[in-house]
Amino acid sequence: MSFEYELSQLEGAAAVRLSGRLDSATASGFEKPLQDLFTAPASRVLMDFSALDYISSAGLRVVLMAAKRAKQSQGALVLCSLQQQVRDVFEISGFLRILDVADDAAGALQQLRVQA
Amino acid sequence: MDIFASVFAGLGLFFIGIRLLSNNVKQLIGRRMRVLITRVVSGNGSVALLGLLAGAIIQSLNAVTFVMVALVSAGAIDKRRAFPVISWANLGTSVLILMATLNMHWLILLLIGVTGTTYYLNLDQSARYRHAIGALLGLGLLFLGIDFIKSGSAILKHTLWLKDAMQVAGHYPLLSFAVGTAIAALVQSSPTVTVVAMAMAAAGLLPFGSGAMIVLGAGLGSGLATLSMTGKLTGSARQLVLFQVALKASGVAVMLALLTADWLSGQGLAEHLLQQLGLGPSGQLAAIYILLQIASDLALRALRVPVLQLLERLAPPSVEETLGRPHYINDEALVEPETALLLVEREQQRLLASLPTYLDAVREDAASTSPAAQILLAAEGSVLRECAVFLTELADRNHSREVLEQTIVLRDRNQLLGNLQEALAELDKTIGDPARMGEVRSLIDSLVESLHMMLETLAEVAAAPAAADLEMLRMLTHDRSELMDAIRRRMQGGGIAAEVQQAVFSATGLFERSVWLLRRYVLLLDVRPAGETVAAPGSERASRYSAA
Repeated sequence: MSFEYELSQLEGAAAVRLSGRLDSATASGFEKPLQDLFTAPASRVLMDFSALDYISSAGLRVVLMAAKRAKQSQGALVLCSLQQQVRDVFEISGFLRILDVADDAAGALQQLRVQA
Repeated sequence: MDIFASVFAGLGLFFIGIRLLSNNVKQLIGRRMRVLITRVVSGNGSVALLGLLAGAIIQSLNAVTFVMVALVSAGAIDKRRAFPVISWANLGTSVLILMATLNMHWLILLLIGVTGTTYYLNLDQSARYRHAIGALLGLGLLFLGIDFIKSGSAILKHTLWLKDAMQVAGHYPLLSFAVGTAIAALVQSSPTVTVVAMAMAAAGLLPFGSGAMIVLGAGLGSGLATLSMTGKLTGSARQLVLFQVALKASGVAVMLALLTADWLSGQGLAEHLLQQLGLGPSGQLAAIYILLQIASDLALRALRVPVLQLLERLAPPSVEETLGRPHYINDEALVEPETALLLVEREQQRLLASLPTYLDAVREDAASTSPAAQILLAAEGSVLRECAVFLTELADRNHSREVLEQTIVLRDRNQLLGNLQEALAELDKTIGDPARMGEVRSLIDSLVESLHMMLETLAEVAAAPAAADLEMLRMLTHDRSELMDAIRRRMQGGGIAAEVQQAVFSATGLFERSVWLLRRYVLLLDVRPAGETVAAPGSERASRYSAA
C-alpha cells in the first residue's frame, strides 16, 4: 500500500490529507513538503489522518519534526481524525500529550483559530 | 611399586604446578599489566621479549595463546601483533626443557623453602602478593614434580621389561609418535611430555629415535589439543588459535621430514651430531624439542603471508568482534583528560545511535538487516565495560573538580546505556516472532515503533543537544506507568492466550522501563548554564509542545 498526501487550503490554514502508509519508505519524501508549510512565520497547518492506515517510527519522527518546526516559526499544527490504530501509536509514543489533536477537521480548525 | 609411585607423584606435582603457575600468572595480568603489555607490543624487539618471557614463565603455549585471545578480543592489542608473540612464546617454552636438563635439586629446595616462608609470614593472604606467591609455589611444585619423575625413572632403568618395551617402541617410530601425540593431547602440554621423555631417556629407558618421535608427536598433540578448544571461538580469536596449530604442525612436518630422511639413510646423523655436541640422552631430546620450536618459527616465517590469508578465510572477523571494539577511546588518550572525556562521549553517542537497531528483528518497518539484539548486547556491552574502566582510570589520574564531575556524568550515562541495551535485548527476546502475537500484534507494533522513534530522536539530539530539543524529549519521555497499567488491565479480561498475555505484560513493563531510562538519559544531557534551573520532571505536562 502506497502513501499519498494532498495539500489544500481550509479557512486560511494549510490542510494536509494523508492516506496509506507513512513508513521508512515513504516518510523521507513527505518530510520536506511538510516542513515547507512552515516557511512563513505563524503558519497554521492541519493534518488530516482519516485515511492513514499505518504509521511507523519514521512517520512519527516526520510529524514530530513538523511540530518542532511549527514551534520555531511561531506557527501552529493540529492533527485530526486519527484512525484507532494510529491513535494507539500516538498515545503510546506520548504524542497525544504533547501535540494538539482534534477529533475531526472542524475541531482542528477551531483549535487553530484559538491559537491564532 | 615405589618407582611408579614416584613417577606418578612427580606427574601429579607437575600438573598442579603448571595449573598454579598458569592461573596465578593470569591473575597477575590485570588492567595495569594489560596496559603494560599494550605498550610493550608496540615495538618489534619487545614483541620477541614478551613472547619469550610469556612462554618461559607461563610454560604453556595454549595459555599464552588464550591470554592473547583475551587481549585481542578486548581490543587491548592488535591481532597482527599477537601472532609473533605466539611464535616467540613457542620458543620461550623451551626454557623449562633446558632447565630440566640441569641438576636443579638444590634450587628447587630453595624455591620451596622461600615460598614456604612467605606462607609462614601470611604473605599469601595479602591481596598484593597472593598471586605472585601462588605463581612461585606453582613453579616450585612444577620443578619438584620433574625431580620426582627423574629420580623415579632412574630406578626404572634397572627394570628389564620396561627397558625392552621401550626398545621395541624404538623400532616403531610411528608408535612412538602416536604415543607422544596422544599423551600431549591429553595433558595439553608438549613440554610436559618432553620432560617425562627426557627423564626416561636419562634413565636409559628410551632410545633416541623413539624419544625424538615422542617429542615430535607431543608437538602435534599439543596443537590438536588447542584445536579442540576453538569450538566457540570466532574471528580473530579463532585465527590466533589456528595460527598456533599451524605453527606446531609446520614445525613437526619439517622435523619429521628431516628425521625420516636421516632414518631412511641409515646413517643416524642426527644422533651422532648431537652426541658430538656433548649432549647426553636427555640433552639430545631437549635439543630436538628446541629444534622443533625453531623449525616451527622458521617454517611459519616463510609461509606467513599464505598462512595468514588462509586464516583470514577460515575465520573472518566476527560481527561481535567488529562491534565489540571501542571506536574512539584508547589508553593513549588518558594523558589528556579533556580529550579522554570527549572520546568517551563520542563512544557513548555511537552506542546510543545503535540502540534503535536492537528492535530491528521485531519491526515490520526495519530497513536493514542488523545483527541480532543478543549479539549487539554482548558486543556493545563489552564496549561499555571498556568505557567504565577507562573512566575509572581517568578519575584515578585526574583529581580536578571539573574532570571528576564530568566523569561522574559520563559514568551515569554509561550505566543508563547498559540498562537500555539490556531492556531492549530483553524486549526483543520477549516478543520473539511478532507474528505469534495474533490479536495483540498491533499493540506490540505500536510499542516497538514508539520506542524506536524515541531512541532515534534521543540519538539525534544527543549529538548536538539544544535546549528546545531536550525540552521536547523530556515531554516525550513522560511517565508511562498509568498507560501501561491500563493496557495490562485490558489484557486480563480479553480471553487472550496465556503465553501471549504474559508476553504483553513483559513487553509493556520493558517499554515502561525503557522510557524511564531514556528520560534519565535526557536529564543527564540537560547541561544548562550555572544558575538556570532544570524543569522539574512532569512540570511540562501543562503545556503542549506545538502550542506557539
